[in-house]
Amino acid sequence: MTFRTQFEKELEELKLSLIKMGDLVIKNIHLSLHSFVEMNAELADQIIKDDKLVNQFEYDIEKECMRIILREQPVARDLRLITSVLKMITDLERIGDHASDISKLTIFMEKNNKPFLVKQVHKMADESEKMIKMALESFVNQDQTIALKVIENDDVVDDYFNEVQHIVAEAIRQNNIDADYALYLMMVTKYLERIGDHAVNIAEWVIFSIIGHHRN
Amino acid sequence: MSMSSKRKRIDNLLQIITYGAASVAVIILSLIVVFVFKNGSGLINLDLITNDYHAQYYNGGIENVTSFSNTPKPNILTEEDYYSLKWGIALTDDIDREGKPIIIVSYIAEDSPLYQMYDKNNLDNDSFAIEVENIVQSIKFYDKDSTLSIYGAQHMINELDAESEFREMVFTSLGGGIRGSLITTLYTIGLTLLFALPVGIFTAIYLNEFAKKNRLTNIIRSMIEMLTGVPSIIFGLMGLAVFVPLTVRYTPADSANILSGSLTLAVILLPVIIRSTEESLKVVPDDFRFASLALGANSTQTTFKVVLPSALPGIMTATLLAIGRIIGESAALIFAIGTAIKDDISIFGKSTTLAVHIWSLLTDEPANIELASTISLIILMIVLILNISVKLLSRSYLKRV
Amino acid sequence: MINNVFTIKNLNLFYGKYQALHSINLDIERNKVTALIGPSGCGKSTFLRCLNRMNDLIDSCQIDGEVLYHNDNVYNRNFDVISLRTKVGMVFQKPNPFPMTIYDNIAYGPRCQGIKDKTELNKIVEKSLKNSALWEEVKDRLKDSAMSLSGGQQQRLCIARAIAMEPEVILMDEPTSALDPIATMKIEELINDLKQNYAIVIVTHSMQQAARISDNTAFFHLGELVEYDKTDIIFTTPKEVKTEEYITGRFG
Repeated sequence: MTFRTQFEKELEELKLSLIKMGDLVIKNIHLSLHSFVEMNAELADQIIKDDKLVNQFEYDIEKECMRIILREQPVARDLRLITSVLKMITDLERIGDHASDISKLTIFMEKNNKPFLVKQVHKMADESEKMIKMALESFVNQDQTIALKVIENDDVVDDYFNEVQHIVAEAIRQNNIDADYALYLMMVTKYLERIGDHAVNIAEWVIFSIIGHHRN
Repeated sequence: MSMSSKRKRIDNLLQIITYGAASVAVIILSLIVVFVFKNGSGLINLDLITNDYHAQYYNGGIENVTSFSNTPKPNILTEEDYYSLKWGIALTDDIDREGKPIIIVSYIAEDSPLYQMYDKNNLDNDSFAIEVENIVQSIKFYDKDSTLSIYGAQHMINELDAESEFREMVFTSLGGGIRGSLITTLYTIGLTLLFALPVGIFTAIYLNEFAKKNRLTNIIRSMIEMLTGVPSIIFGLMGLAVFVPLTVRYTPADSANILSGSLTLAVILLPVIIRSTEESLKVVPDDFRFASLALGANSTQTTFKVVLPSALPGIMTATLLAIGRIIGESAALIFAIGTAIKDDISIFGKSTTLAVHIWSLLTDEPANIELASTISLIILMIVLILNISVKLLSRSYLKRV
Repeated sequence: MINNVFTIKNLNLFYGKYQALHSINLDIERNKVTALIGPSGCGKSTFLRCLNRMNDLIDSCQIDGEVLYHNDNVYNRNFDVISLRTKVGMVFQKPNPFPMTIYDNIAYGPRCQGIKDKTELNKIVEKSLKNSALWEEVKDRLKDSAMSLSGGQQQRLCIARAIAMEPEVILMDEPTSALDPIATMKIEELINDLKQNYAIVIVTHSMQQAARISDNTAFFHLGELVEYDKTDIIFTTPKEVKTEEYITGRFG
């Protein structure tokens, strides 16, 4: 039913590139957590290098979007879709940056720290990763309900952050934790919390691309 | 491979046929021009156009000649010109437009006693005089036989030289000119266009711009189209039956005349003018009409300020065709205007156009092919001049807009 | 209400038995550019010609419903068509200057209304040409034939000819479809200037053009007004699926 098969193909390819970029970012978060918990500087190095790939993805997708705008002069849902992609890759790139930030902390950290709160931090990371996945899924399927779930799920991540904050504060008071490690831990959880926020942003762009305006 | 060679042969054949047809057409058309030119160019000169058709007969008498001429034979005269020193006149043998031998006055000395001749038919005629190019028919003497043109110029001069008086000199002006027919043709063109153009153009405007597109206008249109195919002799009949009596009744005319002829021609031309004007109105883009109407002009303003000026080149071409038709028409005019070749032209009098003049010449016994061709040549030239001037006019008009 | 020059109520139009427009309801706003878009044969040009009654020229055309020009139905029996057309000018698809001089083209409309005074005509010609951004290009050759102008200049001349009547509304039927891109840009620029003083209704096949120059866009399909809204909304978030499919090139 469409005359614009080439255009449709280009849009599908654009979505695919976005998914690939998302997958890479999720993998980087996941590994950066491992490198932090296991204090694996080698792995951390690798992740920092991989972040360049994320940046390359952003650059490529941005270029593709501009090319489509120039050539196809999209309007209505096509225009909204491409505008959303342009915004979403910025968020994905920032998430990628956070993964590499976590990895940098691993490298600075001394190797003799006793792992602390591993379970909560992993859970928090899992939630954030899930949010990114869902946001991208909702985009590919243009499904508003999944996107709304992502936005709701932000509270779970925030709760984890508050919980970790309290526990760490208590441990500092009790002198149960190395001060440097406590700081690093707080920064990692802050990054994870920010990653959740970016996932929410992505979900909001998905909703915009579907309904044409922002949720109030 | 064989298909393509067959194809090629068919293509070549078709091409050869088109070349052939074009050559035949060109050859036939040029043969006509060559024929007319070959036969007609011999007689063509200004005199033909300015002279009367009918020769005037004069009977000159002379009495008591006291002084004779003294002028010697001028050098411009040749041996063919026989000169009488005594009478101061040179005569030459010639043939007329119908091929009969005649004697022409080729010179008259200023002191010739022949200037003393008086008009025996009209004693009050003071301007009577023999002139160069007059044709001398005979000279009658008192005491011997007359000398006639059949004996030749030399004989006539000798006879004349021997006498010092004569009873009568019969001479005529050089006739056979077409001045009358030419003027009639011009009158007819003017009058016909005067009647046909306004009526035709306004009818076309009505049909194309104002009339509703319904069955009635379609019927009118097809009737007009039918009329273009009617043989003109039928219109001639109508001219004879309607316009001749009408003009006889309401004008000084007493028989077929230029006016009745022009009216008949106007009727013949109406369908042609209506149709070609309508055609040229049709090709005016509707965009112009819409643009004008959208500017708040009404349909009359639109028609006369925008559509008509755009159609003008087409209407000019229609006019040219109409003039061609007027010049060429003969069948209808034989009845409607008459066949009398005249020298004094009046709108209400009998006369005839060039085309009918040709017809008259060809029905003479024997047919005067040569003069007919000359007139044809003149008609061709008139049409050519008209053609060029209309082209120049419409070009300068197109350049202006 | 006070800002509408035209209010169309329940307009139906028939060519013989064929219904070309189905109950159209639409308002044309003052000082706004209203674009009419839709696939060929959707009735947008037919609708445009209802506004200055150019459909009257087609014998088989029948109309019911109301086209209110400042609350007067232009299809009332005693409505003066001539004065309507002086108030509602029109520019056509193909530039169609009359085969006369540039000056006479502009002066044609005023002259038809009986203006003969030389100085007044001069003033009108100069003003119209200035307002249509053509004055600088033609001021030294007003006595030249309008046919000597380029296509784009001819179209601007046609706009000048329309605004010489000091209309309130200018209807444009695909005014740039016969022009090159640069000439098109100049016309679009001009339209943007003209809307300070006139309501403009433009039929266009170029969606980009509609998006660029119009304030409101009406989408016609099969003789129906599918959607009418602010141009920004039509081209970002149309409400009707048909509109979206048409403007994104999924049908049409």
